[in-house]
Amino acid sequence: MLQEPRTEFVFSDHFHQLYLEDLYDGDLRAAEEIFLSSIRTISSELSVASVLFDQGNVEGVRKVYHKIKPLFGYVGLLSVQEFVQQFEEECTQTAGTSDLLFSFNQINEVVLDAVYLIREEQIKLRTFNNKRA
Amino acid sequence: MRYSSIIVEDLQAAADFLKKFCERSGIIDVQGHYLNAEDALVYLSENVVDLIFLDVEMPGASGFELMDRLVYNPQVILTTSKTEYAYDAFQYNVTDYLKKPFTYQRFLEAIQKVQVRKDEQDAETGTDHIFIKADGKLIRLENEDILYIESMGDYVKFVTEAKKYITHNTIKNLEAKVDPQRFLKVHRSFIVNLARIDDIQENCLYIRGANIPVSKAHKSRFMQKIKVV
Repeated sequence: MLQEPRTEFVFSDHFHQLYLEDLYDGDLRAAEEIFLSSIRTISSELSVASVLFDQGNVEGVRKVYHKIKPLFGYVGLLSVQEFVQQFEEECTQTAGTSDLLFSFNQINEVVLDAVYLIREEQIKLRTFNNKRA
Repeated sequence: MRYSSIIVEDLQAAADFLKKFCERSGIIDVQGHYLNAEDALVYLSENVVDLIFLDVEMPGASGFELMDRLVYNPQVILTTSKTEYAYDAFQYNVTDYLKKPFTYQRFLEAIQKVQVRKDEQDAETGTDHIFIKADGKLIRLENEDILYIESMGDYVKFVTEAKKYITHNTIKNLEAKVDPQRFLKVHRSFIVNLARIDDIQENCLYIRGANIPVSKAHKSRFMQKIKVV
C-alpha cells in the first residue's frame, strides 16, 4: 500500500517524498534554501571538476564529486547520489583520465540533468512557500 | 547544560542544515563555521569548545589531521558522506559518526551520546583543570594551583602562586564552569579555592595575604562549605 505524504507539498516523481519529509520534518523553507544552495554549489564545482579533469588530476576530480555527493541526498535524488558514489569509487581504481573519459562524460550528463530537476523543484518550493507565507 | 560547538565543513548546504538542527535542539551553541581544518585550528588555538562537528575530507588537512593537532580533547562528531571512515573514527574515539545527510532524530541520538560522555568524563576526572584564554593562547591551569578568581569588569583575574592571568570572562560565567567541589563564589567579584584559604575573619577571608570579602548573600553557603570543628 502506498503511504500518503505527510505534508501538503508533493515533490515531483524524481524526488523521494518520504525521505525528504523525514529530513526536513515539515520545514519547507529550509528545504527551499538547501535546494538553492545545492544548485549553486553543484554548478560551481562542476566547473572545477572540468578543469581538474583537463589537467589529468583524477584525485582532484574524485574529491569534487565526493564533496557534492551528499547534496543529492539533501535534495532527495538518492539514485544520483548512488551514481556519484560509483563514480567516486571508479576514480580510486583508475590510473588516468583517459580511462575515465566515458564515465566522466556520463556522470556530468547525469549531474546536469539533476541540477535542472533541482532548479525546477526549488522554484516549485519557493512558489508554495510564498503562497503559504 | 549547553554545549559550545563549531562546525568544520566545506559544504555550505551541509553546514546550514546542521546549524538549523543545533538551533532547534536548544542546547548546542554554534560559535562558528569553518570551511577547512586550518581556519578551525586557528580558532581552536585561542578558544575552547565542548564539541566539534567535523567533516573528514576537506580541502587541505583532513578532519583526522585536525584532531591530531588539537591541544585539548573536545568531543567530536564526524559528519561525512563516506562510511569507509568508520574504523578510523573508532580509533580516534569520536563520540559519533553521522553520515550525511542525516535526520533530526539521528542528530538527537548523537547529542545524547555527547551528554552521556560528558557525564562520564566529569565523573572520571572530577575536572581537575581548566583552560583559560590569555596572552593569545590557551593556558592550562590546574585547579589546585588557582588561589582565587577576581572580577575586573568584563575581565577576570586568575591568581595562582606563580602568576596572575587576566582573561575576558565574567564571574557569573565561570561560576557554572569551575569544579563546584573546590571553588565557591563568596562575593559578586570573587570565586575562591576553598582548599587554599588561610584564615577567615568576620566577613573576610585571606589567601596568601590577599584580603577577600565574603558578602552577606554568600556567607551562609560559605560557612556550610568550610570545615569548622
